[in-house]
Amino acid sequence: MTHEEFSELLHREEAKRDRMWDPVERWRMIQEMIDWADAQKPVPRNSKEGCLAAQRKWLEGMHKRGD
Amino acid sequence: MNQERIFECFNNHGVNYLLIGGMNMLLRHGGNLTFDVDLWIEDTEDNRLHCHQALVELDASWGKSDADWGPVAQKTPTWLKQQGVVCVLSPFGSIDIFRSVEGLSSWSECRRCAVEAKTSQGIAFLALSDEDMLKCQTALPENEQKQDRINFLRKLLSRP
Repeated sequence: MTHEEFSELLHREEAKRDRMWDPVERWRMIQEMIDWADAQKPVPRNSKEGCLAAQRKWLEGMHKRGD
Repeated sequence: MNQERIFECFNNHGVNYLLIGGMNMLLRHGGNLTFDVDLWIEDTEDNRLHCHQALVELDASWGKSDADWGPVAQKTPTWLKQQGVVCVLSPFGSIDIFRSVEGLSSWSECRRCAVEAKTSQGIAFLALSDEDMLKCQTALPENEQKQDRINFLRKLLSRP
């Protein structure tokens, strides 16, 4: 199978799967995926430590701009 | 999406697989968010059968066409042999099963260099090495290469 043929097959497969996917189920999975990816980080964004770190970063930026 | 469940199921069924693609980058290097799990399986009859059984347990669905779409449990166990790649749906997330990967010659050779990793919940998975990730990216035509991934891997691999 040539690269072009394989690439076309892969695109066709992905498009077919997308057509078969229930939109509500798809949205649920995207949300779960975001939560899961966040939980893999050493300091998840959705944690007290994550919020404090993000806040620190924003505040530093503001100080630099003289806010 | 529940990658842990997918890895656990493939591990329990003794499937010889390697995690490739964006999920491999995301899990081991914190890359961009990705919405499917790409698995390269050893392309033997036995292993395809194990893979089929794992997909049945995951309640996966697939079809050669839209009209033919349905649970893989209702397909003959040789359905995975029909084409080089299949993109299936499962309640635990989308899974792409590759029987070969461009730029990489042998599954068993890549298995020897593979990385034994664990998710944050301690579920083991086998991942394609960074060297092989780079090889399969650079084997693609330039307009399909993920330049950010190539740059990242080159930088990582050039570190002493």
